[in-house]
Amino acid sequence: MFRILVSDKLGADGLDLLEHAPDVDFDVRTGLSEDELIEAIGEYDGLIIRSGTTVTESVLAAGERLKVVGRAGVGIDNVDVRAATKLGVVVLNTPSANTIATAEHTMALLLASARNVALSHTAMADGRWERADYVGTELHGKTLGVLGFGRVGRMVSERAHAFGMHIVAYDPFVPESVARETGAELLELDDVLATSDFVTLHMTLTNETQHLINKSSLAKMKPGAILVNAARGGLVDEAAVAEALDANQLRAFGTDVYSSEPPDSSNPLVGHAAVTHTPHLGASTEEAQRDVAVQVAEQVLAALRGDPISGSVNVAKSGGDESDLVAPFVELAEKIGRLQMAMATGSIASIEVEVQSSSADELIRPVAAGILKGLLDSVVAGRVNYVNAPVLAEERGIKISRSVGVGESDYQNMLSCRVRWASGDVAEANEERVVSGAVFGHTQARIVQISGYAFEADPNGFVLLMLNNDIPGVIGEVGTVLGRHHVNIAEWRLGRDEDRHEALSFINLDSEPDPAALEELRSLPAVTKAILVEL
Amino acid sequence: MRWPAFDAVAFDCDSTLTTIEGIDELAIALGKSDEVADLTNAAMNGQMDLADVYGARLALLEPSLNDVRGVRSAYKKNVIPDAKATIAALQDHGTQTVVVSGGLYEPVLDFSTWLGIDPSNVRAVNSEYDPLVGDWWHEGSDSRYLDFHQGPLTQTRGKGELIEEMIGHSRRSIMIGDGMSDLEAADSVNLFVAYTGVIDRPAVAHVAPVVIRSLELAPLIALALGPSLVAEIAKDGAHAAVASSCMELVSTGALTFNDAELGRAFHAAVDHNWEL
Repeated sequence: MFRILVSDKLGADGLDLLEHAPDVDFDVRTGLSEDELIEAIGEYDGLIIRSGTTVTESVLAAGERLKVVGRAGVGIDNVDVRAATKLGVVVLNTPSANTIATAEHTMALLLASARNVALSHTAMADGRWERADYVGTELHGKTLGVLGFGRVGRMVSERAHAFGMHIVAYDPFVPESVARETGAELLELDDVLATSDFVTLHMTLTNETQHLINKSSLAKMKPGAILVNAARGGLVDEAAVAEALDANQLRAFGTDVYSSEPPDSSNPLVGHAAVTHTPHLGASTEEAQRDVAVQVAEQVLAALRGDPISGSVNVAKSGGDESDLVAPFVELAEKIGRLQMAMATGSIASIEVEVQSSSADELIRPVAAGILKGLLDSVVAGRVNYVNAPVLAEERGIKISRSVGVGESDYQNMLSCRVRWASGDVAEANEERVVSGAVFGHTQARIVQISGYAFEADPNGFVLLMLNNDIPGVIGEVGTVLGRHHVNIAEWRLGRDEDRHEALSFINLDSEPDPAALEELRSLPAVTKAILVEL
Repeated sequence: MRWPAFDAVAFDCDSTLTTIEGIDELAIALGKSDEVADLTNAAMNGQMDLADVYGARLALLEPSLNDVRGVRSAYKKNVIPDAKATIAALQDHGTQTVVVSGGLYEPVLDFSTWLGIDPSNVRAVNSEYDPLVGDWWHEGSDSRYLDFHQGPLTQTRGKGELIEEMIGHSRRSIMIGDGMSDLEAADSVNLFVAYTGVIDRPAVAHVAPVVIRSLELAPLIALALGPSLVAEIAKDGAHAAVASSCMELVSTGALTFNDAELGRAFHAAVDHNWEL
């Protein structure tokens, strides 16, 4: 039974989903202080939050069973992701559930600012009928500058396009072809500011984007332009915007977000005669609230059950669309890591990974995380998983890199890992071993090569790896020893080196042999090495 | 007199469609201009093989994928002013336009796409980026660094071969560029045009059959479409401005011919079609 704590208010559909999950037991406890949360968190496997709960390093450290923190929404400023990663706790959010709501709210602010909807509404509510004061401006035929051309920016562009606007955008990392598909032109920031009648912000808040709209960038805008911000308050210098409005440099500002929320009384924008403001309603639609609640519940359950998740911010992910190869490849990667560690002949000096597949670029990062997990699992105390294995490796100075030409074979979906081992005081690696595996038909994984010995072996259960002289009678002797110790042999795969008359055996056993059986095997004259590993 | 039109034009990128060299911009962005200049000089002085210097400079810079992508904006900022108009005029009159560059693929592709060239008509140096660098396990981490241990950092195939792959053998083609690697592709096209608008390299300009001496690329359309068609489109329509500019530049000496016979043929066509 997984135990989940919901510490902020979550939409009913999300709670419903948890209610109906047979393997989940959950509590809703909102308004906890940090101390109360630290006190409570120890008994939970999962934590679901919105923006109200702050998940500090102390909270994470106290969560001995905690495997996943799910944020219903986008922003994860309230979670110490770095600490979570180190502790192997998955952090996930629901970035796609708010997109439409935010894009539509942006359109609402654009239109309300252009046509003085809110301002004239207020006047009328005050009993004034002031038609002459609220002559607006049209979107049609105007240029919209989109700063940040991600999911929301593109969706706003599509909508503005339908209003007959010309779209220019600034986003240093979006390929030109994406802009072309959406009918937008990518320009430099200054050029977007200089040519746009309307400017809308759709960036995340980082050190680089903090106060992107400031005195100097406002001066570069067209006189009388309209600015809209439904992204993050910190993107604009609020005092500079107020000044620009007062000087009629900006015609209007439509905003949903503030440097501090709720804005305090000193905020010069609140109540300003040229400002249309809403209290951070961007994601506040029934649909978005339902979607974030359902998505976060689904994702947290998936993470707990070990199913694939899509919205994690700290799990090494495939680069492109989730390929159905990811799961079998990562599983194989972990087993290859285990095999490598079982055959370790020193400490790890370096690791090289090669993925041979048409999806190699997508697979490389998850596969690397899988290999590291397999390698470190048996040697690091405490939890090792796909989340923290890369960090644990980095802390230990283990260098992992992508390589080519590690595995020499022509399997369609193959994964190879070379580990160079250093022993004793020798800093230089003095031994290396390559293990390769292949995935067949998207699900079947096989170890296909160890140290140049080729075979196709099933990496499951107890496996006896044995280096032996390739002479008659060995199989019989080994079989006899194992039989005497009541261990049944399920499969026996053999790779041969005909020049050296040596063979590597990969033997699947139905049960774990006792240490005495291994000793006996090692004492057989034909057996050079015998290692037991559980895969 | 007739000047037969060409079916396709292949452009070099750095110092031909834009005034800059991508690698220099990358060096500036990464604060290593001096070190890169030292390497360039070493190559110029013969202390280092020219073929190796490009890769050596990149190895020195160790740019991330995002650094490399950033070159796009430098390309765009320093675009040859009439490059877009020239390409549009060629395309709208049925001329295939392609880009063959010895620069890094990502920015060259983005810049070419921005100029209106179809992505399938772009060839540049496709490099590998190491995906296991920096905080590679974090979402949005794009700290992938150019992996100079893997694969060549210069084109393994000549520009000529790449042009033939995009344009085909049987079609009449032009290559325009400023450098030696462009000149080396001359055998793969029907006409090589040296462009000296940004950098005048005598070694290239002295052997090319024809040279564009203006910063503007517009004179190219007289060569590619023929003087008769240029006179036609200069009258009105979307390409009137670039066609008029072409006519003015050509008549003030922006095109010079090393191949005298070719020059005579061209000027005969000009005299016949243009009222100057």
